[in-house]
Amino acid sequence: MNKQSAAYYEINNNIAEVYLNRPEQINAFNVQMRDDLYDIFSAIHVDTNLKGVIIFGNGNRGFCSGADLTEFGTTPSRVIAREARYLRDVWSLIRSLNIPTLSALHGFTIGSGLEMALCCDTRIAALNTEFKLPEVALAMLPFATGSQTLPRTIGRSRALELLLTSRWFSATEALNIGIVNKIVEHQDLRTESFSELNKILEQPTGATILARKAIKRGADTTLINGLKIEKNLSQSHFLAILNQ
Amino acid sequence: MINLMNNKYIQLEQRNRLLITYLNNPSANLITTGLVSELKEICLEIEEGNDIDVMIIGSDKVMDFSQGTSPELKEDLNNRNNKDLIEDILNRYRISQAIGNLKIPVISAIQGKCYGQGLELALATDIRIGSEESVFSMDHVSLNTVPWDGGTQRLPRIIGIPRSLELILTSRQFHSQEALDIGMLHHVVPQKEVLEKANEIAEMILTGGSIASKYAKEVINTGSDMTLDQGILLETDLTMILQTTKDRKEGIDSFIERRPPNYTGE
Repeated sequence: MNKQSAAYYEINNNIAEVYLNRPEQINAFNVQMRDDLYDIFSAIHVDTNLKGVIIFGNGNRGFCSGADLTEFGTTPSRVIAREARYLRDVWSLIRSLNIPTLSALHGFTIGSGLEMALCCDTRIAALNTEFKLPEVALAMLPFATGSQTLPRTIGRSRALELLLTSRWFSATEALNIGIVNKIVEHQDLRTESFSELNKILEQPTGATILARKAIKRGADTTLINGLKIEKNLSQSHFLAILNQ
Repeated sequence: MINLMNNKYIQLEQRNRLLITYLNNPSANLITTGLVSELKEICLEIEEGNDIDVMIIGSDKVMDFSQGTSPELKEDLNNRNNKDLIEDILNRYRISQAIGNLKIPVISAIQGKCYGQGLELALATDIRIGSEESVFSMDHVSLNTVPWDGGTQRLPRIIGIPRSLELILTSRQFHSQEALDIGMLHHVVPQKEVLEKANEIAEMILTGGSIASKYAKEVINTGSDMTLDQGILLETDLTMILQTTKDRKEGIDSFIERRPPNYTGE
């Protein structure tokens, strides 16, 4: 993998910096990018030296303009399309990472670009970021897990309005409704993103990993079951500390 | 075709595939069994036909959206015979399930007062537009009842448990700006622009694929009640079904050819 790929990554200070790299196409997500990201996140999964991940979009125009529609409709059948969806499941690879993840957004952040960002723990957006989920206007649904991650991020009611209208929304609105955690000047995006991730990484690693696990697992179940998950995770953590 | 006539408590206006329903029980738009049965009839016609892709619910002219349930409910409960079930009486007044179960997107255009069951009705719609002057209250507890038309379940799913508890337990009034801030309203506009804004949103939805709109509503509402992994499976399956529609091909073709899509709902 190199800088000619649709996506590549670099490791600095134990942080994996992932770059979407089709700047001429505003980083439109195509099959090549999916395959590159699949390889990248598979490698990140098994690299136990890594402490965190940041995703950037190369070029000035945007983080990612969504799926590359010129490649659509090339799948021979729905049966094969459905199988393919799970064969190289980039989204689940990102969500299931054990270390903190952050995406640094700017310019056009559309469709699967926003959905990719929603797979991360934290989102920092430049003031010039413009968001949109255009799928329903194109007679489709968001299908990079956004129809599920968005309501879990901002609530089902607000998510429904954004999906049904396919409208644009600004970085400020994204901050107000909780899609992004922070907005910054475009020129500061890189520095601020590293600084936000480092605030998390400065915390004790073991506790960070367990807290992420407890929140993610607990979100899918009843309060009583969530409390059991928390109990098991926290007790095993106390045991680990005592044995050190 | 939707039968637009012969309603006493609601007024209907159809513009192509948009149905505007005005609650029309002057002057407080109190919810009566008559109003409920007419609304339910409309919901049934929408579900059985294939004429309507978006519905707006609002109040006529400058009437309140709804101040809540008619006092007739209390009389009906007091006058009941021993064999009457309280559940049956309440069901004649309940409306939120019929609205909430609609597959098409529903927008509420709220002006004036929106209290009690009136607010529960609005919570069953998908998108809520408020006027700058609107006042809201989940006032059931102050009237010694509990929300009984979906409010205890829908409000927390929209604004979260702590805020819902506060609003329901205090029965206090709150205004549009607060309703917007906590996510109960999607947009707030001056009173005379409420219907205009609802129409604008409806038009945005109508330019999209009608099957995709219904599926978007289904995947969010049903998916939110599932685990994340189950929800993602549902998202994939509905996406695959959409890929078999003519509209989906038209959506991609129109995008690539840089022209507005011409969807047929097929």
